[in-house]
Amino acid sequence: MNPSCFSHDKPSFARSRLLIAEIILFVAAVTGVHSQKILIPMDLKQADHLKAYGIAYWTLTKNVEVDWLLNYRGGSFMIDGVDLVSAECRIRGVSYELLNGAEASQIYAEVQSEGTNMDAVRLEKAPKIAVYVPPNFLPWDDAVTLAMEYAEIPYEKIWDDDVMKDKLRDYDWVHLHHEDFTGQYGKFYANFSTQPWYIEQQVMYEKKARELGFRKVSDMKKAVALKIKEYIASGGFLFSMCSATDTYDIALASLNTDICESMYDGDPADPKAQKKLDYSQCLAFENFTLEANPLRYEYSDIDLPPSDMVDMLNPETDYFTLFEFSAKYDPVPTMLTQDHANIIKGFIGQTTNFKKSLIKKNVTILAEKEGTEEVRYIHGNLGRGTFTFYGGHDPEDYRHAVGDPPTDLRLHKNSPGYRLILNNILFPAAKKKQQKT
Amino acid sequence: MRLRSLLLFVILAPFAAFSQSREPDIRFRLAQSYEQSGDFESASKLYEQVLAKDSTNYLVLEALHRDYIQLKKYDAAIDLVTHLLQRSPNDILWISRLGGLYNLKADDKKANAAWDRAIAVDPSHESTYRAVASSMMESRLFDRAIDIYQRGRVACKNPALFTTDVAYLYSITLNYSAATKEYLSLIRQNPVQLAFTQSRISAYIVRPDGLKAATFAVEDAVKAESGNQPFQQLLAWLYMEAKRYDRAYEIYRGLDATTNAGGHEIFNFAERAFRERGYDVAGIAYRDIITRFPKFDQIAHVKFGSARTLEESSVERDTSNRRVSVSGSRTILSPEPESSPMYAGAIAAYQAVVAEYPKTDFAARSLYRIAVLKQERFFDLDGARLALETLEKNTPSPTVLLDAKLRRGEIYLAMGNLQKAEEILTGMTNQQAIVGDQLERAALRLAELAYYQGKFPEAQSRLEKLTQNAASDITNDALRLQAFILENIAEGDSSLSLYSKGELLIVQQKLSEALTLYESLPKLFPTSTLDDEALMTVGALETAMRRYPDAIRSYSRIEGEYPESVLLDAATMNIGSLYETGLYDKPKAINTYEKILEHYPNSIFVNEARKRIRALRGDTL
Repeated sequence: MNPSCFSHDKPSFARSRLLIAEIILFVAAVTGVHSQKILIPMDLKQADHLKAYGIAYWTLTKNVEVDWLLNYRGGSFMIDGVDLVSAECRIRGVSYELLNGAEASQIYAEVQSEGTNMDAVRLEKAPKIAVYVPPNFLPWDDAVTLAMEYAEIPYEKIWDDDVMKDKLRDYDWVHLHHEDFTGQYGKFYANFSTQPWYIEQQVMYEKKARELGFRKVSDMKKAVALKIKEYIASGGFLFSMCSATDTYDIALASLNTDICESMYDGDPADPKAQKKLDYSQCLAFENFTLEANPLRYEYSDIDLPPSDMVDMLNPETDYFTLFEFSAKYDPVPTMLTQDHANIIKGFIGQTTNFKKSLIKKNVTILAEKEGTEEVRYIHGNLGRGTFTFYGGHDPEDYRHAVGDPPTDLRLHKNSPGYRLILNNILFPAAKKKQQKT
Repeated sequence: MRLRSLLLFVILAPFAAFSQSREPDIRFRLAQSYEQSGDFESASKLYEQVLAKDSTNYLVLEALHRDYIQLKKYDAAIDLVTHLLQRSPNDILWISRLGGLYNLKADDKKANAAWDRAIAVDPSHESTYRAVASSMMESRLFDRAIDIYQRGRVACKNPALFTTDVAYLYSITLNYSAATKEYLSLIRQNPVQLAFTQSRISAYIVRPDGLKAATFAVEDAVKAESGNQPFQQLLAWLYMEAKRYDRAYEIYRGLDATTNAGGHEIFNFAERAFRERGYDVAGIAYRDIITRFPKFDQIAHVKFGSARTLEESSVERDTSNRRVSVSGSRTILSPEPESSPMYAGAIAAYQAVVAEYPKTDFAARSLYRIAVLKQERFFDLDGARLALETLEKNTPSPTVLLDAKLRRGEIYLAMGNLQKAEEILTGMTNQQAIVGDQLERAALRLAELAYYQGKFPEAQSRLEKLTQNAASDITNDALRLQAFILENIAEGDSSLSLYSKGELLIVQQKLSEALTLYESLPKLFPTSTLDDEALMTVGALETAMRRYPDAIRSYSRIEGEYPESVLLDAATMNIGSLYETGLYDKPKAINTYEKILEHYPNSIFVNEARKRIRALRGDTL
């Protein structure tokens, strides 16, 4: 695991930039201006933005470093190893440009210039990726795995027993599938409690909980949430989407109470559960109010609009806007928001947006629906690690329901919404900050 | 005064007494109201007050028990139930509930003791076990509930008790083998339950592990009780669901014999197996009926089915069945002399149906299949024509008549009898509005006929009519030919006439003559727009004639001789295909496909080239 990535302390970034500039000069001196580089543009000239991330990842697996040129043509990649990479780009359908040494140096100079909001971040090592998914998971249930499958980025699957056995430490980056960490099985009870898949899932989870020594699934999920929190604090990168965002924090807040009604865990919820919530345990949210009705398809007031009111949204006017950050001083949020579009079409999930007033003050808002309380994309630090929460289920399927067919990403090669997911995957590959001793 | 007081007492006393007797009732209703609004705390206080005055009120006991659980006051609930049990120590329901309360309190030892106590009250009655199991299921202790039901069976000396309950519990706890064994027990008790059992089992055989477990369980049962027909039917059904047709057939054959079905079980099996493309075993089943039940009531259907399975099995085995694309919509059928014996059996079977059941729908359909095979597999045009003429003359079955006419027109075209072809096709299209696949296809053939003869305005006119229906499959073919003519027709240039003649030669399978013609075209018309197209067709003809190195040379010439050609990417793709599937030269195939990516990045073949490169280098996609 990368013990740490970037922090927000400006001096370290100034050092990083100096270091990169030195490297560039050194490379230029050694290889001469005639050595070629490949630029993978990430602006509108890119034929397949999603596979471009896969090329960057693949390049790292070949022990070739990649420079991520933040804010340069949509967050382009600059790579050595012309023959190898260009052939693979052609095969995977990724647009690229061949540059001679002088052209490459010119681009680096522009990116490094004080007058531009750009910077170069060196990606060094392909991060080892895990996706937390239940055993009966199908890749198309989840946008992140869909994106990784399409971009050909390898990942491993982990589940509760792996987390409890401390296997998280084997990975640099962990994605939480749209899991319900509250132990309420997605609050699908009202609509799906008689469906075989729902019954099987509940029994399967209960068996797993007993295997791991817990009487209730909700207790097991709380323990898992705590382990994940420990993983982040010790330098892990967490990326969650949809209901794995708010339910994760709700589970942490409810460590000392029972918020599940009897259909979920065999006994009623604690009538004083709301009062017993401990927001200090949460990563991103505070002061939220639980949805006490076990039959309502909603967990709390974090989600905006509530899941049972999304019909009021108009897909034609549902957009969110990415914030712009200083590439030189805030490289982390800059990396996470690299895109060829800054206004991105919305998409619904069980958790769609986060209510701004319930987001902790130390959390960075990366994207929101302008002029509203609805925040789409947030990022924060915990100890030596970071977490990123992205609302919604599938960036290219406005309303993805249970049993819907998978999204064919071949039809959405340039999806700005999916790009945000893939930014997160490359982000842990960035050069590590020098450790203070 | 005293009298007045006495009178007042007499009048008011009943009201006061009534008011006192009404008070618990009002409290009870108020408590219910609190409970319904979710205020369990207030509700329980009121219930406690009511219970203090009437400790035997069952409704209040129930309500208070419920509210204590809602409030997680498990100790209070346990006290309440314990108190109640002092009065009614043998109330199995409440003892079971006491077990549930201890379970909620996570006191497994006392929970088990309570449940054991409940059973001890009346260990020989099934309702005892049902009450205890129900309490355990409320606590989501499904495995424990199964154990209790099993215990009940032994105690009540009735192994058939609780079968559906136990089966259901096993299925939701993902123990599909045990669930199936329970359902088998249900069938054993009552064979009429077979359909119910299938519906229950079908819920979990959609999962591969469920299907496997269920099949193993039923196989064991059939081995143990070989005479149990419902078990055999269940096993055959599972085999069919798993597409294990051979195994299913063995069972249906046995069932047919034991139930004296006279071939009907086998017939139903054969029909389903054929629909699901299990041609070989379907064929065996059909032939079995023919041999053993010659007087079967649907024997013509069976014989036709048998012939169809022979044909479809041959198609599946016929690896030489390859069509080579010429540019545009044309394909060249490779000569398939070696395929002759393969289809001979099917033709003979169809001929037998025609001979035995003349003038029937099966005879008509058989004649049509004979014609198709003779034309497409043997290029026996006379044989195909004769079959179709017999069909139209003797068995004018409406189901295949239009298909037969259309094909006869196409056969005359292939034979070079253009006049006859035109006569038949015109006859079809003149009869009524050109609606429906066969009539539209006939109209397209007429347009092609005009094109082959160099009558381009007529061809264009006919094609124009066919391009109006955007929903038809024919429209694309019509548009393609229309565009081809428009692109290449030039005043004073007869290269298109020569080119179209070559296409007629291809339809007639005169491949060598067509090859000579196309090779000559660029020499005769050195400035024609069709020169590169002709060279592409030369490559395609050489491919169809399996002259792969020649074909590669021809395709390669296009790049050298026509560097501006729009066919360069297609020619390169064809070269790649020849290296890949004709000469099995993987490195050269990959290099050629890479050339498409490098030199023609905007080509429509780019995605296919990428796919093939990745398949050839063994990428996991």
